[in-house]
Amino acid sequence: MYWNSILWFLSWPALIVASYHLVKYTIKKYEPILEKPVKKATPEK
Amino acid sequence: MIEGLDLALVNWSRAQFALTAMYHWIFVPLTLGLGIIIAIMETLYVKTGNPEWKRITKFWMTMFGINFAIGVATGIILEFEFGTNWSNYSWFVGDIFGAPLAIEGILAFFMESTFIAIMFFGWNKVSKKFHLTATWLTAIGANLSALWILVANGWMQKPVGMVFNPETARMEMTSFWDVLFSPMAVHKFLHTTSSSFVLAAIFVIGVSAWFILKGRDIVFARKSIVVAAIFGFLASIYTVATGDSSARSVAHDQPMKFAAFEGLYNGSEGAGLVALGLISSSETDPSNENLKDFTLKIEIPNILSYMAFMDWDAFVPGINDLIRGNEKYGIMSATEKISRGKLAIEKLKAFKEAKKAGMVAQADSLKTEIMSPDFQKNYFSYFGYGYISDPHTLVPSVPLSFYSFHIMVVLGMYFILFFLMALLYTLKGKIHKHRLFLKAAIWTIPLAYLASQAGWVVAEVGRQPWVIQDLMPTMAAVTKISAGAVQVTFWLFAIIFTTLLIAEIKIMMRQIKIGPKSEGGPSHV
Repeated sequence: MYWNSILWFLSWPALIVASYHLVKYTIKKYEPILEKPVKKATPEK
Repeated sequence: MIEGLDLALVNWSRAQFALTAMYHWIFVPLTLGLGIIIAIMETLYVKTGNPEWKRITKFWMTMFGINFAIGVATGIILEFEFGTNWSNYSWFVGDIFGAPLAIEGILAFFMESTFIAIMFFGWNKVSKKFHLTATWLTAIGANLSALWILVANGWMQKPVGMVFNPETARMEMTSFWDVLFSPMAVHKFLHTTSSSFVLAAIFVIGVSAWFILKGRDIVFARKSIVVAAIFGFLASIYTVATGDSSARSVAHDQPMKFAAFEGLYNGSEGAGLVALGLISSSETDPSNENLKDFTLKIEIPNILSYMAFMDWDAFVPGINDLIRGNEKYGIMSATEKISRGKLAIEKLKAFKEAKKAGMVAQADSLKTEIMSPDFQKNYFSYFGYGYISDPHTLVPSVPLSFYSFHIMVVLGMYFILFFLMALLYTLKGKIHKHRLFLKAAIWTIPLAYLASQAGWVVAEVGRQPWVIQDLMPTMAAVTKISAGAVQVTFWLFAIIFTTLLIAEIKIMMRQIKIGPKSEGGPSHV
């Protein structure tokens, strides 16, 4: 009776776990770009 | 109609609750989303051992802390208002509404409060893994608190798992699981929390954009943007999916609200979805068939029918169908519902009088009649309509519902694009060059709050005049105190909450200007 609701509830932690793994993968892959120093940008006043 | 009811009292009580709830909802979504974002950041710190992630986590944790404290202060006042301003409501359904609220209290005050202390003060005092566990439990605890509040709210929109007790004239819970797993409650929780994730992600990107514009803490800002943009993008897609399911629940259980936020006066088969529209200012009298509902509209054919009933040609009832009734589609008129509601109230009154007069046999017979499945289904389920005198008061504010809904949806679509752009620019290492986008990112923060508040306006204004759908109108729920007293507390709360909001913004801006700290003080990587 409640299966549909339970499945929906389970999608909530799945969203968080999926987000974490995608973040971890992206950070690992793009670390050199993310840590690359920027040529002195003109700061906004 | 309720005898001797002071409409000014009802309006001021509503205004006060709306004010408190809207202020509370400024602080809550950031707490819900930022908690998860911080937990992801700290997990990256524990997994990689990179101290930059600790620095990033600690900065956003400061933002979380400021926001959390003020959110709690506004939330406590809301809970008190159920007793001070809505005591008739609390009396009628306290047995049901009290359970999720009590669980929320336990989670909020015990789970969150315990682990938040470790989260803030436990750095270097407990192990990394223990600290990470405390951070996750704080984030999950905050969201579980929201779950119980939203279960209670979902129950008000679609009352389930209860039975009416004529002896006490109160609703009593028969199934806790029916209340918890009600599709209305589930979709409300998922849609509300995921939209809070979106708001928090936008906040992180907006603040990080400010650092990049200032040319400071660039690595910190880029990494923060990547975490927030990925989380925000997935959460925004999820928000669309849960919003769709939520709308389907509304179409099924609250057709008047659905018709109001779609601006649908006359129902039709294969109804089109108004993507953008300007409601005709002359449309104030739903009984007038000749009025034009929209001055201007862009409509996508058949989409509304599919959205509501998963059938391209399904009939979607409009406001006029729900008021006048529609025999072809088996829709009962509001007048008929009102007469059935009045009969249910009269039977209850007769039962109470018989009992008071000691006429046991008559009282027992009336009780049996009231509790019979036939009476419950055909009369008692319209109990609240018995308090309604004019059927047109069953129509909520259509312009407010329609515009709030469409603002929420249009902004939701913009946020998906926003997250994608933030992610792409950052991963290409060129985000610092897109200064216009960075400025737009800062201005997207208030838009996220606007969308979030608009969502609640749709939910709460759209369900009027009901405080409990079909069972209790808002006017019957109010505490009978003087309207002047409520007016005083309204202005008092307005001043206090505005002061708290200004204080929060000032403290946050001060912390943002200080920026993320390294071990030896502020860092300018």
